[in-house]
Amino acid sequence: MARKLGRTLSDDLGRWTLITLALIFVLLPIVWLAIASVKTRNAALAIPPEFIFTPDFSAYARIMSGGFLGAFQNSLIIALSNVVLTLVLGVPAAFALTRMHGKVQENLSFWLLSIRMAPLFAVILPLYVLFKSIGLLDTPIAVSLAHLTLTLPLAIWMLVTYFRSIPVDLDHAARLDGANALQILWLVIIPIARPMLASVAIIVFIFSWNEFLLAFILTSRNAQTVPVAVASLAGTMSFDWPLIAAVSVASMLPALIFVGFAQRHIVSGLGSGAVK
Amino acid sequence: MHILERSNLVLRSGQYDEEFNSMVAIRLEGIRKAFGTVEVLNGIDLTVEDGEFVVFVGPSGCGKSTLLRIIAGLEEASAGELFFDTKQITNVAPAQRGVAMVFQSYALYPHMTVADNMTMSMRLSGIPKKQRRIRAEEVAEMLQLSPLLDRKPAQLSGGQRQRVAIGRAIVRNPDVFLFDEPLSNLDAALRIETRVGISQLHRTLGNTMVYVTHDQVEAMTMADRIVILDQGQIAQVGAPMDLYHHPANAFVAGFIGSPKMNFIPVTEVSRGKNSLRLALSTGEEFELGLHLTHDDQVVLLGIRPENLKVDPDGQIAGTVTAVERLGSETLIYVAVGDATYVEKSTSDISPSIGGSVRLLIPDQPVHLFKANGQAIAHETILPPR
Repeated sequence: MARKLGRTLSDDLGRWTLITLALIFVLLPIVWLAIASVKTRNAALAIPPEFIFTPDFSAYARIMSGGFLGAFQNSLIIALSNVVLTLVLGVPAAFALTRMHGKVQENLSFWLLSIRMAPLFAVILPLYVLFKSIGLLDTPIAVSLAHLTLTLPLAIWMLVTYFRSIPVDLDHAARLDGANALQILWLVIIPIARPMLASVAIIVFIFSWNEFLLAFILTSRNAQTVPVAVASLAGTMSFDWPLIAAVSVASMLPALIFVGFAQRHIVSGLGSGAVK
Repeated sequence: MHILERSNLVLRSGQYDEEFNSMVAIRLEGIRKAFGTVEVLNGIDLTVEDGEFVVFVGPSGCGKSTLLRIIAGLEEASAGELFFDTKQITNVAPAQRGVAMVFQSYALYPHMTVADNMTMSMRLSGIPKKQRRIRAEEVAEMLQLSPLLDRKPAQLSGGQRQRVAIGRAIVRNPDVFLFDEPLSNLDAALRIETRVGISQLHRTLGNTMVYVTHDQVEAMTMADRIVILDQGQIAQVGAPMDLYHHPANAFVAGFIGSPKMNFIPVTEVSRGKNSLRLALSTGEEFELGLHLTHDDQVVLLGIRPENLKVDPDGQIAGTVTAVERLGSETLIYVAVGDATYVEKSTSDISPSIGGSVRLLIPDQPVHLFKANGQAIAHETILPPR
């Protein structure tokens, strides 16, 4: 008993040490960023760093005056529309892939995954030419559609795995109750898969919100997103470090709010009780 | 707690009463089903009469569930036709066939309450919520589910979920009830209780019911007629006791009855007008007072455990390997050469394990089979010993 207790105690100690180290590793840069955002330009660059200083919130005021609200608006439109498009297209696609059987479905699954296998650089140039030819360059739609090419296969892949775990007897029961395929999807599958839909939404939103390369190539001024705007602050001559830090800190807020909202739908055990 | 303790309530209720006597006969003609190159059903011809309780029974993979799903419309037949009364329904959608099905897994919608689960079909037909609730309450009362109407399936026990699944079927007022091994997930006591309940449900509602099981006890106790399936074909159709006493072949003889029938390989030595002399693989010979009406050679002798007797005058010598005392009866396992035969005795006498005994084969009832497994017709001449 004493030996078991001792082992549990040392186990706990090890676990907590690991968690603390991981937390420091993850949170330290964010804390450092938050501190830098309320320093003056000189204080932010001082070596050794100053730990005692008078907070200066002027960088946050400069977000408002410096035209960054447009970037926030673009990022929000792109990320939310990408979430909606991914789910609207991905859910029926995954449903069809799991519930309909045939050669087409098998080949489609592989084709969808193969898009994810292509390196991003191989996709960017064709996308640029395509959007240019249809006059969509430098619009949120272009970035959102470009993001969709990457998030849709991922979402379908995640949803297919989840839908396969939903017993097909539920579809049969619904068919006998008089439901057609769309009603089965809407009334049975989607409510059961809500936790997975929320997870997919979170992953897609975070991807779209943070994505830099596609947004950088496909936008110039009008549809600039937050990551691109932050990068553009790092000029060769000037370097407004507190402003970069303030924009970065502010950019975390919408993502945090979205994740917090979506996470409420991830209720474990929702699917239990369906069978047996 | 019986499924239908208060079934009369349903009969009195308005809507149900009007539609109560809608029954149909099911006719299957040359039904075949193949999954790729695997032939699962191999030409099924069968008629289930109006209001009949028919049980499909057979070992795993015999095609019984597939056949039920074809009747439900969940599976498409590769060939053949299906009729409800005179109406061809081979290509009719499941919901339009007037069938309700209880699944082995219950298949309850986990995100819906018991009431919503039971009335999903009404919701899809556009019936207002208030009416749906009334119907749910009516059926819930019949199945003693009233206090559970607002719970979700995860909050119910296995038996309660099972009753909800049956309730969902009743709500639909179907012409035909289909059951796909509905008791397999219940414990032994609940299984017997529900078995009795479903039989009662059939007597009360009078609908045509088709029930699939691999459990021959369920088949024997519930069915008006049993359909025994073997490798995608009907091995025999008949009333339970008819199958028990007159199996058409060795497969049916072995499948119906517990413990299963003893099969003794024999060689025909001689055949008189009223006698049949057989030899065991050990060389021992014995005579049965039978008159055979066909020329087929007997290669297998079948005797039910309750007809085999441990008797000093018996024809077969063997060694007792096990004795199971079940209270009302005792099962004695006797090894003869490589085979083991079972004797079911209602007496308290039980030989000791390892002891030598002799087994007596009576003149009747015995079952004779030819090389292809088909039963050989015979008449018993002598009175039973």
